[in-house]
Amino acid sequence: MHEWAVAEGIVEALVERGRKEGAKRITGFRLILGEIQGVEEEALRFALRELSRGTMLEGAEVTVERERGRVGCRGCGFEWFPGEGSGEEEALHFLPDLLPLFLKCPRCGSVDLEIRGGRGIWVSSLEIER
Amino acid sequence: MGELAGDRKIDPREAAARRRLSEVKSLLSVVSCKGGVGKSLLSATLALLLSRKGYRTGLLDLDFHSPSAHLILGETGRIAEEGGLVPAEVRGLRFLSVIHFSGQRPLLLRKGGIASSLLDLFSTTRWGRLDYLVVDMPPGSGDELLELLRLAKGTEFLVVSTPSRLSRESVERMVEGLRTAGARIAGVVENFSSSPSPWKGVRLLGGVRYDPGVEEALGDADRLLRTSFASDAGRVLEEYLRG
Repeated sequence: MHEWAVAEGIVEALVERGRKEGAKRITGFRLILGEIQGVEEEALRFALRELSRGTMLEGAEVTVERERGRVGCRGCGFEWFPGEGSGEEEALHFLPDLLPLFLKCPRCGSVDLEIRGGRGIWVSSLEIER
Repeated sequence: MGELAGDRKIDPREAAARRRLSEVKSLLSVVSCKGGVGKSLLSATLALLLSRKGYRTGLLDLDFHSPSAHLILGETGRIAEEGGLVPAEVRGLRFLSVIHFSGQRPLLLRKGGIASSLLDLFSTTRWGRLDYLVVDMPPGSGDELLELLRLAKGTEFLVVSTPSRLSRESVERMVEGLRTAGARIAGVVENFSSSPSPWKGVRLLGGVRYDPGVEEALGDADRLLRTSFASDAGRVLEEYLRG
């Protein structure tokens, strides 16, 4: 997923939530990035800085945590962490859930794989000033 | 920092998806319970016809396991990355398919990630201003359909059937399910049918005859639009546009 698009979504979603909560400012938030989403943190922080200018999010402290990507084999049960490098295919930048198409189980060679962790992006906590 | 409870956690892709789809005036999703009833051919033909009428039109092939719109159009085109994902331009359409990401790899893929993939696609794709986005859906009423209903509440469903009872009964159930979910139903199209019999409780947009010439026309949009299939689809489109 492209960092600019992620940042646009974050700003829009948080401003909407802030309004609902009657916030004057959002002073900080924690973002969890699933590793398989392949989001580059520095690019995301840059886009967030640019896009939050003039909004209640401007100047908010952003804490980023990564959830490790985990893939499991439905054939032999083996589970492994494919790591960030597995997202080298450009396709996975936009559709990370296609990751199993590019892998084989390192133990038994099966292609019946499932992603068991590291999928998605979400804001898990928020600090607001009323 | 205030921790957000499970159901209050914020997935930023949802806001991004809503905003990107707000540039699309009409979203028309072509669905059916069964495979092989002609959804892809009808989707691509309707999209081409809309484009020839001067509407800004997109075609999204959401069949993750068996994409085929690129074969009908005769070209896959190239997607680009520019402030998001820019669809390919093919035959006057903005076009996006899972084939742009999978290439020719076999699509051995469990359904677990489909909902997340739809969110990724809708939140990143820059369709730009479109009059119509035609969505070629996979068969069935599973993850893709439910996720589309959640993300794009304004979508209209065009339901494809054949005259066979095997298809009609499932489609009737699907229509009922869509209604219960509060979805907008554009109507039913009966494929392989020159004189469709009426459907109870749902608008019949028309029938589309079997045309053996379609096979030869696959991959050649101009030739496809000269088939009787396309002229019947054109009548279906006129009926749909009448509202």
